[in-house]
Amino acid sequence: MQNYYYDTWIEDGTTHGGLREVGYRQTLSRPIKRFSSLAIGDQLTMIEQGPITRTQIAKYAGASYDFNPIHHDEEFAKRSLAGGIIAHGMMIMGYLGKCATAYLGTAQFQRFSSRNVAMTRPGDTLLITGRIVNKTLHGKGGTVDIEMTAHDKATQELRCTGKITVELE
Amino acid sequence: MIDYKPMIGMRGKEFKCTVEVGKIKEYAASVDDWSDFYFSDDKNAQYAPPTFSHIYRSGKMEAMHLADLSRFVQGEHEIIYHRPLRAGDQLTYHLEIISVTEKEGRSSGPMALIVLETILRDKNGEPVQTIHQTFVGRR
Repeated sequence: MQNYYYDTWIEDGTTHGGLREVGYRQTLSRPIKRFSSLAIGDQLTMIEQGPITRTQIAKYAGASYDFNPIHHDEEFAKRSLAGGIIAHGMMIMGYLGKCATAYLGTAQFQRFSSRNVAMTRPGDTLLITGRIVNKTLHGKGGTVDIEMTAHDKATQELRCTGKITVELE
Repeated sequence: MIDYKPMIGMRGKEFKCTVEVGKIKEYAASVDDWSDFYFSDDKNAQYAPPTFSHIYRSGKMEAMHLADLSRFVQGEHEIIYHRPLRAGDQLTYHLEIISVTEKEGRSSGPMALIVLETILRDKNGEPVQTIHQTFVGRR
């Protein structure tokens, strides 16, 4: 499906970036999962995010109104405890959410928590995984508990953990 | 050593906002999530990504004014969903510090865990989401 979107600034490493697909962007329809089709131990489809660019971090700053200079101002960030630009913790939580909704479709979240373990910096690539750890039947459907992680691809360092409970028919 | 217990019950300024169609698209793009249900212009088909609601409260940390935030890091962030969040929702944000726990870290010394609760209510006063953020720092 093609949906209207104001612009997309693509940084692909081979060019200096550029406006592509101005006004339109291909969006993806997601499958709708049923409670009965999921089993404890099932792995969510892993997603790879990265390498994360300063442009993506700046985009998150704008989208979330979070202009803490630690996320975009190299001079400021170097003098801070982080020692350089770091991605927003909520951006990583957003990637966990993306991984779960990509797998589950429009399933209604009941609870979603995350804990940042280590900082993510420009150039890092994250691997986002999830696993179904529990199922509770009630009514025609039930709730499913999922444990999520984000690891750095190069070092295997754990960056973020998350827990999601969703309700499915 | 700083005693953070007096912060329990401190509130932030209540504020209102309306969830915008374009902001949902911008946010979804910023987490590289191109699911079509975020980009639909149909009010009944589009809804907000799971981590969307925190954006309107960026920087609104009045309830935490007694703590030096440079001494704290955000630990856990928990969102409890009472119903789907959609464009057009008129939300009121209520912020309050609901607990302060003091701990002795084995290597880090005396620590404080401060939990800031944000409740989003719709225009009928019904809860939409409850957010708990835990800030961890040295006392």
